[in-house]
Amino acid sequence: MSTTVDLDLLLDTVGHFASKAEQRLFGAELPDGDLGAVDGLLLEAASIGLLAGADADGGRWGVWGAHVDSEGVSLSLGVLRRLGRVCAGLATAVHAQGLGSLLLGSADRSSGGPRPARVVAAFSPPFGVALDPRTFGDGLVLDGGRLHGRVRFGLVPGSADIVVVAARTAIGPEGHWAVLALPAATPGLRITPCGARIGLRATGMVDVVADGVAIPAGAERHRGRAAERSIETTIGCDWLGQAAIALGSAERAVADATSYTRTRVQGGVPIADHAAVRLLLGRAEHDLAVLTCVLDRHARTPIAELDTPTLLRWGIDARLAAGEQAGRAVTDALQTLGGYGYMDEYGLSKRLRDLTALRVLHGGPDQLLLLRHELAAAATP
Amino acid sequence: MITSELRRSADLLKPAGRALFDLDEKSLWERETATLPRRLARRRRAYRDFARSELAPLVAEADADPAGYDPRPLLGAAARAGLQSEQLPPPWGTMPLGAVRDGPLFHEVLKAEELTTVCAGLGLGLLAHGLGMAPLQLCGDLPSMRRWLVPMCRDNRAGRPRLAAFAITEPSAGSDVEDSEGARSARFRTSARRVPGGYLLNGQKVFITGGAHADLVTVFATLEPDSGGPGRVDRDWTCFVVERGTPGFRTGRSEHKLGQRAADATELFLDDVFVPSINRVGAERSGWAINRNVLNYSRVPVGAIAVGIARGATEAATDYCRRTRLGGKSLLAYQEIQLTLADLWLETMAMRAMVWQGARHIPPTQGVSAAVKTFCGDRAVAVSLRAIELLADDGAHVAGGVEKRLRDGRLNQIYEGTNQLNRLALVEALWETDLIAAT
Repeated sequence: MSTTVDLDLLLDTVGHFASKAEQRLFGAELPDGDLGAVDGLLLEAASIGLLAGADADGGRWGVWGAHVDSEGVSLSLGVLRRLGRVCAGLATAVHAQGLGSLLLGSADRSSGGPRPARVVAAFSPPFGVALDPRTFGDGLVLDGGRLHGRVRFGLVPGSADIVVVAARTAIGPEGHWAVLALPAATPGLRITPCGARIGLRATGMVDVVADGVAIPAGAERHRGRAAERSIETTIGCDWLGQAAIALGSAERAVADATSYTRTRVQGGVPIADHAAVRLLLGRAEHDLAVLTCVLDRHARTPIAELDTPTLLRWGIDARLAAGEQAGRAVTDALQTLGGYGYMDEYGLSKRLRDLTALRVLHGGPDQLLLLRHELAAAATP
Repeated sequence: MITSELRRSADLLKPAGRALFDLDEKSLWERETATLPRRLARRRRAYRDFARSELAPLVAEADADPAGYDPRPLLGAAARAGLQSEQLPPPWGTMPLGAVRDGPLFHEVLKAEELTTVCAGLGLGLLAHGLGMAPLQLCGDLPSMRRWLVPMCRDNRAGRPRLAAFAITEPSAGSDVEDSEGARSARFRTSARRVPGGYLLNGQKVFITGGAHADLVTVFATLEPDSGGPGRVDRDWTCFVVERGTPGFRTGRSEHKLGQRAADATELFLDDVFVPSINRVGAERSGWAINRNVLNYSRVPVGAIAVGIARGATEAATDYCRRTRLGGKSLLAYQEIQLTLADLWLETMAMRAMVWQGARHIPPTQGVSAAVKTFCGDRAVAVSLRAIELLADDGAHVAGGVEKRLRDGRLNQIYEGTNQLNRLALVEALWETDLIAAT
């Protein structure tokens, strides 16, 4: 079977899965959908190959699966965008599993070993990248075979079996890095929920705390430059994935708002005929087009061929564009519905909440801007 | 912060020079309060104290579970504190003496900002009472005032809470009444028909703040034209008082909404509701004018609600930066943090300046009120979003204290007419005097 046929089949499967997910999540009138259905949906996503690292061939074609090394991220972004149209929280859960797979890295992916069914993807500030600890916590330190410290805002696709973390191997900015995969039940390892948040509630978010955790044999997957590249790749793809999810969610918001404007009459005519509404929707459509262009920039370049500063800069651009463009598109879509847009029943308020959470997930805009300049300055002789 | 070097240098000035140089270390709130007449300054302090003592303990519960939140104890406390009877001066109510000279809205905007700095939902639940009473204040009809306004104020002043609500929005029409052109073809269905001794009302209202608990609702209905045919809002609208318990009048569901959740937004149903003629507010077919003027009076306080939301976001973000340390120093010490905080504070100051200036227009006018409402609503959302970004991941979490401000602030771009309609209302107001005519 050719790669093209595989991809067509997978995208078709994603469409069916998305339709089913929408029915299960939003059959009842709940502002965040039926969160109890998420675990079952993730198992189903795993069974049809949408989750990386969870099926017989290592989830090669799943979101952020091994295919990104040779094929680029286009497919992963497309799947996340499609799922984002249904529920940004569910899409983020699928994304989270992929991040865990990415953090394990290409060497591990090709080893053919057993894959974790579910992971917590938790990473610390990568070497040479000035992300401050507000973004990822003070981080974890691996010292003398024991793991200490805390990393914040790890994403969990449902209940985790494995925690994939990045840890410094020495304290200080010059420290080297290691990537570890630890069973969630490892003694001394605590996974605590971050608490209620504005959106993306279908995805778990946790702090990972290690109190002198003894590292089991084989838990350390990478060290040194290989680990650093995994961490940087994971962070870059994290921001790209967030942007794709935001784009999908915003596309759906604009589509729903456009339908509404054709039926709602005000001043004797459908509001679709009012210039005020046309301006809102025209700007929203433009915003989506801009974000699409940013996401497409290197989408077909194999990850293995992208140097990590380029990947990180692209990820930053996409995430910042998602915050601005997708965020504005959703709020403009909501505005076209007037009072109804503000009510949970119409679904746009949930999209606004989800987009707000994505706007600051794993780094606020100012942090990303500072980092972007640092990367650009480093690339300039 | 005034450095010791600056103080030493200032001490070398002549006494007149020193007198002209303010070296007091006072908060911005104290400085701005000091610009108010003393009676309003006292009120501002009292509103702030009330909000901190009575609203703050309720915020988390009321936002998380609005269906389970019972507003009556807070309404009682507000009544006892004199906040719910400020529509009339003593001996009937608690309107500040000198309110007419200061601007009849000034104490309202101070109250709105202080309450909503703590919680926009709880604040709105109290402030909406003033909106419900506004048609009675502004109709100029003494019998209506004597019959409804005076006893409501008297009861609230005595600590017996009574709540009013204002009902114009319907399932298929809302912002239509924000400009004259829309009103001509608006699809308002609630109707009034003359019957012996009074009127029969039929129809449905939606999104009515306080509707679930109101003792009295000022309802706008289209009176059947004498000539027959369909009624028109701008020709036939008439305002009526409908009391809770009136046969045929019932409340429906309260909506689940994004923010300002402590204030209910409730459906009202009127099925052959008979109201006697004395329940009519003002003259028949004067409802259009009453409604427009109510909006002129209410939009400036709505702008103040936006100021409160922005201030709440700003104070929460500032508090976060004060208590969060990074790299061995407070977040406040970082230049990028200072730049963002400066934006939050200066935007909030600009909003407040616009609201206070708007409150000085006596009586309030359509153009100024629409401008205040629109500008402040938009900026409250921008400030709240910036505060979330400043806190980064913590900003999306409830514990960060700012995500609620965005959810709350988003309503200020919608209610009292969407901001698009308010922009058109501004243009309409300026049309003859400033747009067509050369200035």
